[in-house]
Amino acid sequence: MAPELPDSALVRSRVVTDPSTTLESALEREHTGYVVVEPGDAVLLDDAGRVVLTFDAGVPTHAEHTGTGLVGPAALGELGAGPYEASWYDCPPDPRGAPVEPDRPATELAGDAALAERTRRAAPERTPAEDPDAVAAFLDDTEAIEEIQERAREEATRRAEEWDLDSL
Amino acid sequence: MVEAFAVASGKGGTGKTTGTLALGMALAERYDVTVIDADTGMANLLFHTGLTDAETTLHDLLLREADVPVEDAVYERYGMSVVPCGTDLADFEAADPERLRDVVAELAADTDILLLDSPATLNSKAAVLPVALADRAILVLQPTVPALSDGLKVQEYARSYSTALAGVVFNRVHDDEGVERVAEQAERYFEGPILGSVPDDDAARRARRAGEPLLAHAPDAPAAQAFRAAAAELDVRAKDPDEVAERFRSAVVPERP
Repeated sequence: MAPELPDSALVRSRVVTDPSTTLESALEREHTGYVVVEPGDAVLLDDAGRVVLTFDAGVPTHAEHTGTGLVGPAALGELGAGPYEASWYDCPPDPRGAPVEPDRPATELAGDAALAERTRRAAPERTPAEDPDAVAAFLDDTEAIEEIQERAREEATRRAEEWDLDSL
Repeated sequence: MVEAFAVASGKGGTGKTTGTLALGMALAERYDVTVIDADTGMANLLFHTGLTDAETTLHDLLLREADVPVEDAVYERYGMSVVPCGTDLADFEAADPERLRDVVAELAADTDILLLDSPATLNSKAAVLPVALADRAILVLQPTVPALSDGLKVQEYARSYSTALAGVVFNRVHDDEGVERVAEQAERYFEGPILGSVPDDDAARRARRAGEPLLAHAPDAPAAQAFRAAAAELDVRAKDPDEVAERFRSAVVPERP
């Protein structure tokens, strides 16, 4: 059993229904430290175990399951059903368990392909690189871009009215 | 003299907070800079500035019953005035968003440049408010299709609130992404200039880990130099502080997201 995580580094706990909320927050915050994800039923079922994810600048690097002792990708498969309590530790981490691919938690725990892709891109050794030709083709398609702009404009105008922001 | 910039991205993971602080530190060589964590629902700035133990934060200023002077939440760090936000959900719930306008208006009276680290989403009124209130927005994007789409979207939102675009900074750029070509093409669609292109750099991750801004942790790193160059490209347009303060004061109250 790994030593306890430092209490002083516990910055917050949140109840979430979907692990993607936690993974997305971690990416957005560029979280460095740990997030311990514990299923709500663990409390009732006499501590079925929790998944300890280690993060570096928003990207998950390692995983460990405390109940089974499984590590790496195998640990991810052990997380029970939600809702979950996610406890955030902000500190220079000493990685727990074994390495996982950056996008693995988003895929395995959350089934969120878009989040997996964003995480992969945020990771230092991401693969594959975005094809520059695809970006060039996107920016060459003036019509498609005008459509994005038009749609955003309509949405912004509608919401400005809804939110009473049109007076600004 | 003051100009308020919202630093925005549309989505997370672009290094927006790293960018806000890097631009802030670079601009602080010439101006008085105040950086505010305007992402009150998902605060982040405190983790980048060694302020995780800050006793008073923006949340305290927004509490209904609070009688805390604004200066109590202002920390002089790295040559800037930094206003962190707390991470406690209960404080966020208890906060009265109406007070944000006055807090920002008060801060505007005493600085040259306000940088609002804005939420990485457009999905609520509170999230859009910093972009709506600012004079101009700075976009921090990766040179990818999803990020560019988001950037175009943020620009349209900004326009609809009469917030101009001050420019785009490409961040976390990899060598193989042909960013020069992307920048050249993208410039046609963005109303402001491409201010710079910042390479993906481990120094930024190390700085985050150390709880320090990139320009303090690794001032000579390629990413730090690129942010400094981007800041030099920004044309700051001084406004009458009373005018900016009035803009914030007259803004409508955001609802809780």
